[in-house]
Amino acid sequence: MVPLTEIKRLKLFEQLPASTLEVLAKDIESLEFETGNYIVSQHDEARAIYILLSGAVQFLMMVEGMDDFFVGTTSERGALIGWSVVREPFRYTASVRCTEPCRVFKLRRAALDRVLRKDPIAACRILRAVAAALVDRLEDARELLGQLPKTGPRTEC
Amino acid sequence: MTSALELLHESPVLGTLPPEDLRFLAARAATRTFRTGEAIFEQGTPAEACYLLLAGRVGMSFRPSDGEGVRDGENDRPDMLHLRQYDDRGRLLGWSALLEPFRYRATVTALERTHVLVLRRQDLDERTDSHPEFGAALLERIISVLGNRLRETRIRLVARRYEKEAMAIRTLLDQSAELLHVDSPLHKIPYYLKNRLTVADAFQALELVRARGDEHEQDLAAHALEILEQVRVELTLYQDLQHVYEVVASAPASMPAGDIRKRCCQEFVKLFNRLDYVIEGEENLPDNSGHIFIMNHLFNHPDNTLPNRFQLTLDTHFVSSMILLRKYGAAPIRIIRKSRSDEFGHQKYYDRLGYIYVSSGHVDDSGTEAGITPEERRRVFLDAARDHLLAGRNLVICPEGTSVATEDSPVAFKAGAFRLAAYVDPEPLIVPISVANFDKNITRKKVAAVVHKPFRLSDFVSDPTDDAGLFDYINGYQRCFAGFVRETVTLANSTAPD
Repeated sequence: MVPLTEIKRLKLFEQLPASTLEVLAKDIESLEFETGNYIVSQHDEARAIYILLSGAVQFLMMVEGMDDFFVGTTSERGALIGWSVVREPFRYTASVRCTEPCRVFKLRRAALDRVLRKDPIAACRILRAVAAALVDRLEDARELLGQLPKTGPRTEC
Repeated sequence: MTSALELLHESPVLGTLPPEDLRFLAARAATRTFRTGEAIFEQGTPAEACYLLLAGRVGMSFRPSDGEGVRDGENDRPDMLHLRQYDDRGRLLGWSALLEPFRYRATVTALERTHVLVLRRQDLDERTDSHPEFGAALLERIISVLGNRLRETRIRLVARRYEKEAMAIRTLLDQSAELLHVDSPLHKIPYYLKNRLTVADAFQALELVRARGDEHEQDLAAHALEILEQVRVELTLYQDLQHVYEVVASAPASMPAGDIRKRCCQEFVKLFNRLDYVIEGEENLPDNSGHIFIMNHLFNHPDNTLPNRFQLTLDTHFVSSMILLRKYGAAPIRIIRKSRSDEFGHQKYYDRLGYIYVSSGHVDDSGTEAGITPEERRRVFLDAARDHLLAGRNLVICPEGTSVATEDSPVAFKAGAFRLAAYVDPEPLIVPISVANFDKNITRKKVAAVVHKPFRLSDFVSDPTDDAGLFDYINGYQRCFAGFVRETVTLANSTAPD
C-alpha cells in the first residue's frame, strides 16, 4: 500500500479526512512509465485517474490525417491525468505521453466512485480539485491559442 | 417574464439538480440587465457570482498573459482573444465563482441588451455547506462545462495552427461522437466542406441545426460556425468572384465594352475592399492616362477556380480596379493571351471586356487566323494597342507572358510591351507596378502592390529595332523588377493583417 503521508501531500487528497484517505490508499498503486510511453490514450474508456509524482508529460489530441496535435504539457507534481473518470461518457479526451520518465499514482475509477457516492463532503473536495486542475489546463490551452498568429484579415461576411 | 425557477429548470447545466436545490437557488437569484458593450464580468476580478443567460447575446474573451491577443470579434478590445459567443438560454457563465481562487478566468461582455439570472457565490456556498450533495452535483456539472470548454479551445487550436477548419470540424464531431445521433445532419458537414461548391450548403445546414437541432447539436453547430468564420470569408470571396464573372459574361449585348470594364472594376473594388491589402507609390502614377502599365503576374489560388474552371486573375484586376480605376476613373485595357478552344469560360469573359488578345504558344490559330504571318499578327496587335493609347486609354501588360508564384516572380520578360512603347508616337510612359501574394489565399494573407517611377524606353534604348540591344536592356530591367517584387513581398509581410 502506498504510504498515507505521500498521498496526503497531493492536492487532490489534501483536504480529505484520514479515514477517507485510508480507504483510497488501498486502491492506489504506484507506477512508472518510460519516456515516450502513453499513460492514457484518447477515446479509451477512462478506468483510472493518474496523479503525476515526477517527470513530465504532454497532452496530445488525435486529428484525422495528421500526427497527434500538441495541446499542452505539465511537469507539476500532483497534476491530474485522466480527469474524464468523473465526467460522462468516461472517455479520455486526450492522449498523455511521457516526455521524461514518469512516476504516477493510479486510482481506479471504481474506487474513486465509491468515495464520491458515499461521502458527499469528500466528493466536494475531490471534485473541486479536479475542476481546479481542469481550469489550469483550460487556461494553458487559451494561452497557446493567444500565442498563435492571427490567420487572416478581418472582413465583413 | 420567465420565473427564476423556470429558467433554472430549463438550464442544461443546472436543470437536472434536485427540485429542492433549484427552489433554493430560485428564491435567492436576482435578474439583471446589461447594456450592449457592458461587461458582465471581467477576467481577473473577484468572482462573486455566476450567471445564467436569460435572453440576449454575450461574447467571451480572454486576455493572454503577455497581453498580446488578437482583435477577433465585435466589441473586443485589441488585446483580447475572442473565444465564443453565446445566445442560448440557460447557459451558465462565470463558474469561477465556485472555484478557488474565485477570480474570473475570462471576460464576458453583452453584445446586445442581455438579461441574466445572478446566482451569488455566498448562496451557493451556503447550500453546499448545508447540503454537500448539492455541492458535489454542482461541481460535477461544472466539470462537464469545463471539459467542453477545454475541448472547444483545443479544437480551435487545431483550426488556427493548421488553418484547416474542415479538419477541426471533423475533430470536433469525432470528439462529440457520444453526444450525436448517427442521423444528425452535422455528420454531413465535413463532406460539404470538402468542395468549394458545397461550402455554402455546410453553412446552411449549420444554421438550420443551430436553430432547430437538439441541445447538443445546437451547441456544436454554434461552435462549428465560429470555427468556420474564416471559411465563411473565403466563401464570400468565392461568391463575389462568381458574381463578378456573371456581371461581365451576362452583361447586356448592347453594353459597350468600356462600360463593362468599368462595371467589372467597380465590382472588384467592393471585393478587394473587404480584404487586407496595401498599396504604395501611387504618387508615381502619371497625371494623365494613355500609358503602358507593366506588372508581374501571379498564379491564382486554386480555391478561386469557378465551376466552369475559369480563374479571374486577381492581381491584374487589383491593379486595374484599386489603382487605375481609382486614379483615372476608367478601367484599363489588358493585353491577354487568346483563349484555347476548350476555355469557354475564359473566352466568354474576356470577349465582353474588349481586351486585346495576343497569341501564345498553346493557341492554335489555324482556324481564325490562317495565313497570317507572325509579323502581320504582331502588327495587328501593335496597331490596336496604339489606337487605345492614343485615345487616352491605359494598357496593362504582364511582360512575363505567364504567371508564377510570388517567390518565383518575375520570370523572363518578353519584348511586346517595350516594342509597343517604341511603336507609339508620342511615346507613352512605361509604369512599373509590382505585386505580391495574389497567388496565396488572399483572405488570410495581405496582398500588396507598389507603383514605381515611370520611364520612357527612349531614355534607355536608342534603337529599339536593334533586338540585341533591346533584349539587353529588358533583361537588365527584369532583374531590377525582381528587386521591386522582393520589396513588395516585404511590404505585404511586414504588417500583420489589420
